[in-house]
Amino acid sequence: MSAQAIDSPSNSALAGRLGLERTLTLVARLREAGILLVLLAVVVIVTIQAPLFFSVSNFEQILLNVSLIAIVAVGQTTVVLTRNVDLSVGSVVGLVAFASGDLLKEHTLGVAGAIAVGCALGLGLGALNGLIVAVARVPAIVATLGTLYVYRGLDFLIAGGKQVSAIDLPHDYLGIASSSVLGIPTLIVAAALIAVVAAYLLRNSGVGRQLYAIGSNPAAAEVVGIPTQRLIFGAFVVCGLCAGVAGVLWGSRFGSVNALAASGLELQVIAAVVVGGVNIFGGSGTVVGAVLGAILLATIENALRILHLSEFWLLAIDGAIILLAVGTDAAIRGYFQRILVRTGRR
Amino acid sequence: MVGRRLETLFPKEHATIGEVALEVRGLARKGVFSDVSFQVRHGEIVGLAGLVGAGRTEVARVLFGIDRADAGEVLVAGKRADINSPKDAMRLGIVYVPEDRHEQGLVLDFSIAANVSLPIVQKLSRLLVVDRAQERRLAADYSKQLQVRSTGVDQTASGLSGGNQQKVVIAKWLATRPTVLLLDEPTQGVDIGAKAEVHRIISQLAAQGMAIVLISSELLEVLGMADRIVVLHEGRVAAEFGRDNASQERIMAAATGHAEA
Repeated sequence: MSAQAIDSPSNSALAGRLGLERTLTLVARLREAGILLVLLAVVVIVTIQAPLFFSVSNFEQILLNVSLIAIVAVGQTTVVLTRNVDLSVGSVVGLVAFASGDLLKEHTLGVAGAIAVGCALGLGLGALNGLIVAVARVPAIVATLGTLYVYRGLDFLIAGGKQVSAIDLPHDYLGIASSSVLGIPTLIVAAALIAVVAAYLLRNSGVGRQLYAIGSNPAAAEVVGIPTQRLIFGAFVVCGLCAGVAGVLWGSRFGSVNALAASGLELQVIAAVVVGGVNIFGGSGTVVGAVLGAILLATIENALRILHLSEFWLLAIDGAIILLAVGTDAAIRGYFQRILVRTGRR
Repeated sequence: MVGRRLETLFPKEHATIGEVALEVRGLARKGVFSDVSFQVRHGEIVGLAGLVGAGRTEVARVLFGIDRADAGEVLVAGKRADINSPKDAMRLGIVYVPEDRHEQGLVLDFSIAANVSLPIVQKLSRLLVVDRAQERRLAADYSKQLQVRSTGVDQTASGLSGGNQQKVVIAKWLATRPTVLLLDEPTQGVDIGAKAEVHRIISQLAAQGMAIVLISSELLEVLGMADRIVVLHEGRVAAEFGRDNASQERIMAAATGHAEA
């Protein structure tokens, strides 16, 4: 962005015409449009190289791969908005996946019961994260790094080298992932539903507004009487619950669960959130962006497999996209800040 | 001062002084201030003068529930008040416009409307969802009353000038319908034209019956606006002057510890 471009009257006029309205929303829309554009470019390029890529069943496969990550990303977005981060989500998914799988295997509980217990476990683990961060005031990055290991350790403890396999699991549980609603796989519908509800609430509810305020200006949020720590605690609970939901669906989707299930998932989730335009320093970004980020990363992964490129390229491209996304965010924000100051201060 | 007369810079409106709205008795916070007592009546502007570090902001922070007092009591409308959080203070009708607009006053990323509604966003919500029409109406009303210059209530706060940002901060607090307004350096970093406007707003609010505590390091501002002036020196009340017997010299003497209380 050259200085000349910023100084040109047409840009100021543009800002004026837009009424400088809802800059945040505008930036978010630009970011989302940007991801869609990159996504489109990837789809076009890969389709030219490998026509097989462009099929309903392949896209369905990509979205199935995204669905669980997207559910976790919804929770992670809620936490990141408040200037925190939850590194333990992979371990929560793994622990919940094994615990609920084990309950089903031993027929201790029915399918509904196991799902309920799994979700409650996720919620509880999230609440523990929340307590450590909001009450004990341990920085989230350290607190959840700790629980990442603790929760995974618990997972190892109860799994003890065992594995829950598809044969051990009841049919109606495995049926969740293979079933569909109106022709769309249930997992995709579930993820979409969770994302839409979360996106709507974050954007339109009073609590959503308060979460953005906490991330954007914690001191101001405190001064207007927003219960900052209670809401941060709540964000971690929501994040744990989302990870719990993804955890109970894990076994159904993949058929087998061992103590290593979903390890490293937290990095994929954070990558999706950051690529989706959620500011890692809190206060801006949307659930829709995070989900689009997850879809973009999963599409690239799928494309590279179809193109038979090596794992190295996948990691390198993922890394490049994260850097590109963060760089773009900084540029967009800087640009808007400047024209806002230029046209607004009279 | 750019050819303006003192009266235009400090347009003081006539206000009827009413009942005591806020009374502070022997308030203390260890190592910060002690034995601070004063009262503010409806319609009255009480200036809190003193040097930086005299404890003025700290008193305001305690009154607004950000910090706790170690001793003393606060009476709101004659009743003993327990203020343990900004929420408590807001419920009692006390609000605080902080010194640092950017740090504590505004969410710069938010629109004017979202900033104005922030303290009462829960009350503006029905079934969890913020009533945007009502929110914009509220913001538009206060923007008009305070003459906020913007492209509309959807403009982002970061694009406003210092004076207009300050007006949005005041609008935000007026939306909570307070009875006591604590203003901390309300015209710092505001250009001189906007300063006169902020002063006009303060006078109008007092005329409407609000009790106002004005913390200011500008002696002219305190002298021009306040009905009474309480001078703090090293965390203690050093002197109290009426509007008629206050002068720059007397305030400075008290603020630097050279006056008989």
